[in-house]
Amino acid sequence: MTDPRLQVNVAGLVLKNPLLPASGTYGYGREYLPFFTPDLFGAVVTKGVSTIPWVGNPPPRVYETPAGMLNAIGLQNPGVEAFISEAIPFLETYQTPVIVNVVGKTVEEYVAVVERLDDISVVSGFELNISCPNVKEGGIAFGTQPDCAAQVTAAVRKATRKPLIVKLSPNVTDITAIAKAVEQAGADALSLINTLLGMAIDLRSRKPVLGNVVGGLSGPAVKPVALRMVYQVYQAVSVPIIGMGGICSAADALEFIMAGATAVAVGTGMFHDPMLPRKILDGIREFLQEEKVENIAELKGIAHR
Amino acid sequence: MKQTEALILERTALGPGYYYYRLLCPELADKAKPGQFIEIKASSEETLDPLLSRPISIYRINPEEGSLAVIFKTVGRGTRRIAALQRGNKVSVFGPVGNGFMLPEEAGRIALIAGGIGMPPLFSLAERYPEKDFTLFYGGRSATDLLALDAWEQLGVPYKLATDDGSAGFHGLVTSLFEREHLAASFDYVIACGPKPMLKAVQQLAARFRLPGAISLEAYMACGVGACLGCTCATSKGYRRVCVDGPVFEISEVTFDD
Repeated sequence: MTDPRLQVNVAGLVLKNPLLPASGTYGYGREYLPFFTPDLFGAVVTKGVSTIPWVGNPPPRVYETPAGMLNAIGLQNPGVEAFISEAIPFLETYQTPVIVNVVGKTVEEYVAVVERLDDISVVSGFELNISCPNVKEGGIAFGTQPDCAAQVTAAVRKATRKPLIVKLSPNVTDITAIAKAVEQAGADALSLINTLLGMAIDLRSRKPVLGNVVGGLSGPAVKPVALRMVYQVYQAVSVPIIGMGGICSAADALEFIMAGATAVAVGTGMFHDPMLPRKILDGIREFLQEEKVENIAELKGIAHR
Repeated sequence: MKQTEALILERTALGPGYYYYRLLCPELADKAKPGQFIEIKASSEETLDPLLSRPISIYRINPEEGSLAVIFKTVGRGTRRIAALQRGNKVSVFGPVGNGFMLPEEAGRIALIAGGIGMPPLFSLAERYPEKDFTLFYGGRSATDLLALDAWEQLGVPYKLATDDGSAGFHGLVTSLFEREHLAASFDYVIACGPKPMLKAVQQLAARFRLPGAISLEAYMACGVGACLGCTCATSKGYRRVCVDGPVFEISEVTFDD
């Protein structure tokens, strides 16, 4: 059921529709099969993949907050070799492009994951999660300083010719400075936002709820912040933007596109309703019909005019 | 696993904060096994808050009627929203989720140990296997926390009660009651569901008595399908997902922190 009005181009990838899953909310695609297949999405963005297995954070790892949730999963993943032997054969059976989200504790680790996956044809591109702590810089996230963000982007850029997307952290003073730095370092596209750092305290135990003390806030509660950042970054860079942060409806998705996103991702919204991706696509189609829009690209950044 | 709009056939308040719901959801009732749970949406169609569905264990499975029954306790915003739903309302649910109980063939004399709202999944298990010899040990704060005793009676499963305040049955912990009774009854299998301190005590007793068994856990959950890794528990095999690797685990596998 392809609809030419929904087709978009992100970093050279032709996507049949502008909807992706946000990394970490969709595993490697298998878990949502009771509700829809990976082919529903314009592309699949995988859960983060590291060089060796990461065990993740101690529980509790998630906690609901008003119109949102905190998570501190700790990027638990089986490592790139298990990803190749277990997830790739599954994803290969579908048509939709696969964008592998890459995590690391050092620049070398990011590069190693990308080099290992670069020759695998089903991998269409990479998304760098630069919200990981940089162990060589005292654990400060790569994505919070323009030079660190640029450094990891440039190093990965040298390792692959495949489309390179960099996912920006919102936990910064000026997200446009980071956006410009990674664009200059060779990013083909940007995705934003990652989660906003937050926490919760349990009154009975007098202690932080999350095992990791702090965690990332996501869901509808963060949407206005995410939308503002997409709007600002659109003005600052010329590479395409994948917008995300609390998208729970077609209207939300369209807002991000009007703010400047070429594509959008749904994450926590799927936890609210596992059928949400299908509903968003139906809703976008309905809107294009009602408003007589020939192609969704016509709406991109329209709020700036 | 299926998502559907379930019609509420029956709603009964069972006591302070406890509710019984019978939901018409034939596709789920067809597939459900004892020990599994369903995710019930806690928000109305128009709101996104509370955002996440609530995992609620299945109390009775009736494939002929196409219904599932649940019993839950209101503990926060989500469960209070669900408890406001009335007979004739529809509610969005998906499931069944989880592995469910695996009762080994050789399990003969089976002790079921329930703490508070951990009772419902044990009922679905006992109802599924009428030929097995179950005894229920059921603990709660007070007599009003011990639910559906008439249903257990109809099922013909003997039960022994324990309350923290002594208002019903044994005055003290259900695990102390079980420890005392086991010496005479010599169970050969134990299945427990309840709060973590109780499960930890059951695990220690099972180790001491060399009893095989299983425990059913609960956890904060986000996706409810196994994708987000938010509900993991520590086990001897590393972090495992309570939602789809559990909620039932082999009794010695789970690592409880101190």
